[in-house]
Amino acid sequence: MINYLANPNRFLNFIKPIEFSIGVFSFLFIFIGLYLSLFNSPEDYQQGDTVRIMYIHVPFAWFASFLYFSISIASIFFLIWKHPFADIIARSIAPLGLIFSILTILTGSLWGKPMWGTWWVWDARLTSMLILCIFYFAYIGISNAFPRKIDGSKPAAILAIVGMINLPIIKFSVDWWNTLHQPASIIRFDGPSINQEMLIPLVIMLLGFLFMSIFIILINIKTNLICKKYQSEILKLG
Amino acid sequence: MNINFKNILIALIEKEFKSYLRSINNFMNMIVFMIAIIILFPLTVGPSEEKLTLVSNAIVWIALIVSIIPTLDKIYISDFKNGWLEQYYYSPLLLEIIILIKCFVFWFFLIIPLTIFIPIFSILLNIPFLIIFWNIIIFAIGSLGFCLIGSICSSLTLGTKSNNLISPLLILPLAIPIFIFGNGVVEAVKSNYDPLPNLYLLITVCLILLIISPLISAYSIKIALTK
Repeated sequence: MINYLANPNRFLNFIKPIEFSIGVFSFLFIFIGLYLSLFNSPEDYQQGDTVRIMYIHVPFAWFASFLYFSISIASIFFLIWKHPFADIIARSIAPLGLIFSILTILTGSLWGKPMWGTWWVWDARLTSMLILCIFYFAYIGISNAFPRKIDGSKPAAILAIVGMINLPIIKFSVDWWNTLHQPASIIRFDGPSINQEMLIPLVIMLLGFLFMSIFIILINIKTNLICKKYQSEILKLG
Repeated sequence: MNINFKNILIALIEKEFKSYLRSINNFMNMIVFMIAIIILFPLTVGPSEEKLTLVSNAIVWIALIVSIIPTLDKIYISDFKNGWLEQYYYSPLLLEIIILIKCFVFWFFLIIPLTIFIPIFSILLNIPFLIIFWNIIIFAIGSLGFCLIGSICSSLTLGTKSNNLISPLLILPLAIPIFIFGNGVVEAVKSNYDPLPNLYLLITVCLILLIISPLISAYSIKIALTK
């Protein structure tokens, strides 16, 4: 399957029929999820209405780290099999992940001001998220820093793999250190500790974000492929 | 083929030492930068002693780190431009070992001399003697890890258009464990706890870097040479 799709032309043919439906799915899920979370879910007994920021904060945070994980996986593929398509995938994911990590920090600080009384604390979870954001910046910076764009692929891939040590630190920072950020409440050994009525809108939002990020990444991949083809055409002419 | 590795190593160390001796300008730049930061802090924070004792240790650390970073990403750049790295690559010695030697020489001849300035600045900022002693130990160990991180970053940015902007972005996130454990030692000493656990963790981080960093740097130098 991966071998079959690793060819850009076959990949483009494969995604052509399903691309539109992915976009529709993402729109539908996010629309329903937003409706449920904003109007049809209970208020928190401590936080009141501000808990509703959680319904976008959690998907942003999860996908910021998940997209970094996929960048590193694509980079490992690129370094081992030297397939240029893996590099294109990694490059297409990076801007979206950067935006997600910035939005995580923004929504978190918007929530933190009324709840904790500060925009920002130098807490383990918050700091590791900021470092993830810096890693995204460094990845994008180094992959575009070379006179020829292709030269930046391998250094950027190495950086992505080195930065992978940050991901378990983000995940377990709330367990290892005493943080102001609340501990994990969904992925736990003894099942989710969150209320059912809050869990359903959150899961729908997570699905919507999954489809949305796939949709945007597909658009980015197509754009990057077109750029690459254009450059190779220019090389042929010159 | 019989190769005298001892002679090669001595020649390498001698060559590195001479190249640092001839670019003494870099070293002077670092010192001037450090002095500027040390003078600026009391002027901007205010000269009252209560405020300064809270941040005095941090000031010394910031002065050291900020002055090291600009030289840190230039470990390989002149060798890369001269073609030395290619010669190293084709030499019978492993590239990893050469990188390790380069890092050690950089650390020993460029960073360790800075420890002379720690007591001077600390006395200017009224830091107690016990903490000065621990600061010197932490700096001697932690700066080796810092150099190894710098080796990763400078090898990754070989051949970029301008590597000045990216390098701090690469160095800082990787160096955070060193800052955390180094600060842990000082905090423990300040509040009369046992500083050794944090010191051991700091040494662990540096040892891990000692293994990983030459491998990654050698790999990325090979990539830079095959462009």
